[in-house]
Amino acid sequence: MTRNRVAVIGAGMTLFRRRLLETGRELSYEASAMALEAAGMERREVESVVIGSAPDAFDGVHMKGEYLLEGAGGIGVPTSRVYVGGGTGVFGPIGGWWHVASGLVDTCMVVAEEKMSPLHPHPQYAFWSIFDHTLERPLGVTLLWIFALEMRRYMHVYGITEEDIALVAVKNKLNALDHPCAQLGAKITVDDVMRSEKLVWPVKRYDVSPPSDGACAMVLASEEVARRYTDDPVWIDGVGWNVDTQYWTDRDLCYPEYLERAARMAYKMAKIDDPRKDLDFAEVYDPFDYKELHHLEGLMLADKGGAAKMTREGVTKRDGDFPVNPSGGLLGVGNPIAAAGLMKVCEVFWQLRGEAGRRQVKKEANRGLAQAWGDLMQVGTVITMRR
Amino acid sequence: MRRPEVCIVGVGAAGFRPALPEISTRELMFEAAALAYRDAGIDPRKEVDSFMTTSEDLWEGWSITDEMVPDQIGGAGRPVCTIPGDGITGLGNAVMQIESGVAQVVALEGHSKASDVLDKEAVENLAQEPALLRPLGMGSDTLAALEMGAFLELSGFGLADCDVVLENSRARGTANPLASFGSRRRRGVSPSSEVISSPLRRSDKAQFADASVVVVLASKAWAKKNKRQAVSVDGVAWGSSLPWFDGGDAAYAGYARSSFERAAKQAELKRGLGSLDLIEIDDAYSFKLLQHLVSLSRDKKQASAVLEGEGPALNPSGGSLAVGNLIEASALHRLYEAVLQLRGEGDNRQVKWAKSALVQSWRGVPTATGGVAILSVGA
Repeated sequence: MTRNRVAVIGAGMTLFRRRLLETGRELSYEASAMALEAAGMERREVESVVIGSAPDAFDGVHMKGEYLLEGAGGIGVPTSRVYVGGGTGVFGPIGGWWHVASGLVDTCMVVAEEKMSPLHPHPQYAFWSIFDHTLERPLGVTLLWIFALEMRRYMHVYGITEEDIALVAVKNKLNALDHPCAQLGAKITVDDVMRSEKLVWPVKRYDVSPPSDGACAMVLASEEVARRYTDDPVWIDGVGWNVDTQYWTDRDLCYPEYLERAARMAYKMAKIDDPRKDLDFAEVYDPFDYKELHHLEGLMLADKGGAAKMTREGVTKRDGDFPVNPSGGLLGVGNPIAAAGLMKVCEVFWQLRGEAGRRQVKKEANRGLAQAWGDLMQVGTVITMRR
Repeated sequence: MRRPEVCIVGVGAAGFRPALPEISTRELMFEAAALAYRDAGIDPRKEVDSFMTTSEDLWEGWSITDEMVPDQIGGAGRPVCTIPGDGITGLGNAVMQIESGVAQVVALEGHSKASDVLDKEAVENLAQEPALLRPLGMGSDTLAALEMGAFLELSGFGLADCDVVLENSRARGTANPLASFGSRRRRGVSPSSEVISSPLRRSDKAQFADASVVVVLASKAWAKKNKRQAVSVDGVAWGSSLPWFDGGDAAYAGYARSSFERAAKQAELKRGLGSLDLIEIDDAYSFKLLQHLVSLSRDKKQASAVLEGEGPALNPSGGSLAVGNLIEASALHRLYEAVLQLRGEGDNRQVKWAKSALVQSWRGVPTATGGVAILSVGA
């Protein structure tokens, strides 16, 4: 039983682009200023700050939370950085949730920032150092390699084709055309995906989200405070997170069990018995197109091996029966790691408030979910929200 | 902010040597975690609801250090996260998780394996703001020395006061089996101690050491139901002020004062530091102990009285100057010491009748970030 109900009362987001000129601090400031404006709140009214940012190596700054705190408004108030690798974007508001739910503070600004561009020659180089220095680095593995292994395993176990998976990229990039901050919105076909450059079979260039810079922010408040600022708060009613063993070679990569555990934690809190029925839409983490399918199954929003069929039948389109990634997801909007995760939570907020503009899902949206994934294919973070 | 309904039910510590070449970071973490779980009398696979570590990227030669945390602390397949920061920030987040109801029992881990890092200054320097500060080419010690010079000038303390800090800290360390740098040399500074960057001498700086500390926290309701020996967390607060080179104050640690005020309010402390039996204050540099003490006391007179042995016992562990700089685990070591003292397990360094304690932390150069925790027993 929590002490405080926690509401989201404002959200903001910068452009997602490659090589933005703004510094990380400036991006954090811009996003947090937009969130405050949306909430109708002033910075001095914020009692705590939670910062989410993925590897220090991207920005080339050690203790990145310290670097960002001035821009995020963290001077003079308790500020924490929370971190679960790529799952950080959704974990930020989970951290903000426990700040407010604890009753120790009434307001919390959650800011997520990532600036991948400074890393040369390519942001992928930051991922060299995420592998175990004794067991894995000597093999010369890259992140794309291990995701290719996971994608291949998933395809093999459930009989999924590359074309099935490509449909996700087609859908999400199309959705992103309606997002004013999107980096890679496009009208493409399955053939375009299939003919795009092979990176590590079966992963092709259009299967992958781009490196990006950007920031997002949201303002959380206790019920008492939220009611003073808005008649239309969006409630966080479930949070869950789970981290599996680091030794990914010991797991069957066809199914993300850690995500099922995280989802069950969130669903229990939110009293969701049948997620497919109780939720109206979802923002599912899609750094690769196969991950949207993989995650839909881990979230129990699709049967094991059944997400491709849902996609083929148009169920997950924005005007479908269960819209998935109406924002355009990471594949279309961009993937500044932690900011991309928080973008998904922001999208759920905007959809539930009916403020998503041309991205607004057709069906009535009363409950939504956002999810992210990270570390070494081992983290699931889940948040459920309702009007 | 009100007083949290949270307590510490177990602690474990391992390592505490300048270098531990024989074990890995993960083995070190495992040892501390196993000791803490045994101390708390719990099975981590069944009774810990949430696991948290305070490590910061790059110190272990790893990006995304969070990924290598779960296995050795019993957290694989469970809620695990990293709160990069000093241990007090981690403690605060653990307290909030418990207060929010999402967890009843939280394991909090911090570690240092600094001996594995070939160029520690290179890691430290990466923490400097990259556009305006880092290009100046000042190392952490130079920034600390500039702050030290300004602090001594503004506060009226002198190098002789730093010498007293060093002498007392290292002498106290001789009674602490975890202190690698304890000594009984009169006048703490060797005349030959190298000046790193005037006025900072090598002796003024705590040397790095390897260690892991795990603290198990639980709701008071859980501790009562399960009949565990508990140390209450009466107040916990953390924050950041502007660093002196960004226009902040060098004479005064704003982050320490504001954290103390908030924690003291939660704990309902009536007489400031005078309400406490012992204090464990950050002393990554000798002058920082003086600066932190003045900031917590609010005047030099009270700070000087504490230094002279009046009021609460100061750093019975010997502090970082005797135990070593454990990076983000430094605050958890202070917490560990405070818990032992409050449980009457301080052996030959036991503070008599210790019922209440304060732990204060600082994240180090180039930050102006730190926190305060106030603990008690038998309330």
